[in-house]
Amino acid sequence: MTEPFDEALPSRALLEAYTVPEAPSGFTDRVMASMHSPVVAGPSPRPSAAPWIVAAVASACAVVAVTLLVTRSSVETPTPVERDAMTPGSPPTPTTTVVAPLPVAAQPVTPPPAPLAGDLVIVTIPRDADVRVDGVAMTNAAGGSPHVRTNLDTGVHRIEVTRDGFVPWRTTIDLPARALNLEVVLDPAAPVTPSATSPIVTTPAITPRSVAPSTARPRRPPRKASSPAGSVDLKDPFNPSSDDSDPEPPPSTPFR
Amino acid sequence: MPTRCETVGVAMTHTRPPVGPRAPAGGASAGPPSLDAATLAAARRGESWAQRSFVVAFQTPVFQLVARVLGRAGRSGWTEDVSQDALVRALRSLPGFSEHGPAKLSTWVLTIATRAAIDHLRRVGPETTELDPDDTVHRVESPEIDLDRRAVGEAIARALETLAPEIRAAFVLRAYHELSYPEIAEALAIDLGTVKSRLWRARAALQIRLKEVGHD
Repeated sequence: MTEPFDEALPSRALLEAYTVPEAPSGFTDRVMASMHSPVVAGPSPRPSAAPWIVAAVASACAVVAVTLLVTRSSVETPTPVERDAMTPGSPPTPTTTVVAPLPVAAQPVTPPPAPLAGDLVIVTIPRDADVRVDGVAMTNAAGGSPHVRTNLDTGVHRIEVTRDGFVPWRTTIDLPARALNLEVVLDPAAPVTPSATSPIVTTPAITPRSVAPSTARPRRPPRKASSPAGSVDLKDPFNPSSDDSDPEPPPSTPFR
Repeated sequence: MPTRCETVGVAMTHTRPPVGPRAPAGGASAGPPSLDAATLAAARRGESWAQRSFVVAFQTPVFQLVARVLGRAGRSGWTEDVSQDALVRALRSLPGFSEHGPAKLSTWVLTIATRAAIDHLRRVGPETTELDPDDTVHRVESPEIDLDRRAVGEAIARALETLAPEIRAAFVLRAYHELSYPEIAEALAIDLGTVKSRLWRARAALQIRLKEVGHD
């Protein structure tokens, strides 16, 4: 739409003389990586002190402050006996010396180190599975996979992935102080028969270090003999009731 | 048997090839980019392939807008950072965007990018480094038409440098991204009268500089 201002503008050819560089190669990947990182990309993390240095300095300051507090309280706070002695004209009173313990507040206390935080990204197939970390449901804005939990304390956490019609999957993870990505592919539950029920699958604990290259990406269960290696069945294996109702096919490449 | 795959790092699934229109390259925009409804819906749901299509479609206009609004301040790598920030903000806010609302998707994205650039300039202030001599017009080996074109480009850049970020942003949105007055008003959270006055001030600054290089 033409506005009055446009008539006063230089011609399009002149305006186009002011060129600016285009986005560099790899910019798309950078944005996508930033999109999946736990911290909202703000302009740019410029060089700054590492978090552990800040934590160390804060701890040192706290220790110094507590030490000063203890020193001052022991030097400046007179005992009742000392107060009496300092009062002019008051007779000295016989006393017994009692060594009182330091007040609790004045005990030198080293503040506990701040817990380190890690990030957990869980991709489930099928995507609308229920994911719980330590019993707390993980959701994402879109209501499906991937499920992202940021600032999760490092250490051991219990993961449960369940969905109706599929074998539940449980494990424990040892979350590092960084990102940990899991892809969980649920198996369809076997048809319920009177003699057998679907077992709950429990895997050994996952630790980032325990993942050897050969086991880092366990292979899918063997497919039918008719499917060539690496191919994907057109029929959705996770929704036996329909052939093509799932708009998103399962990834044909391992999750990276 | 359930399987799991563990990687440490950034998740980058790519279950479908990136599709969607590419934004036109070059100086001024040749029409705003857009996404088809299916891709937009998938991007809203957080599907990686669709989010990538979104980034591919809008990264060029966003990058160029940010570069022009930042001006000289964008030469220290800030253009990339601010553009990235704007695109990530847009992607994360995408579930809240309504196709039936008053703003087009492209206008909405450019609004986010404009605000990100202005916020950045308010935080860091203008950069005082001189223009790179390589960017100036003094290249004897270039054809005369290139010299003239470069001189004009340089004049526009210098004119915009003299303007406040908000005025510069209004000019860039109108002249290079063809937003209407109401859209600019919405993007900059100002009224229509302020849009007009800012555009006229930008034009006046531009006229002076263009006259210096022989373009009235």
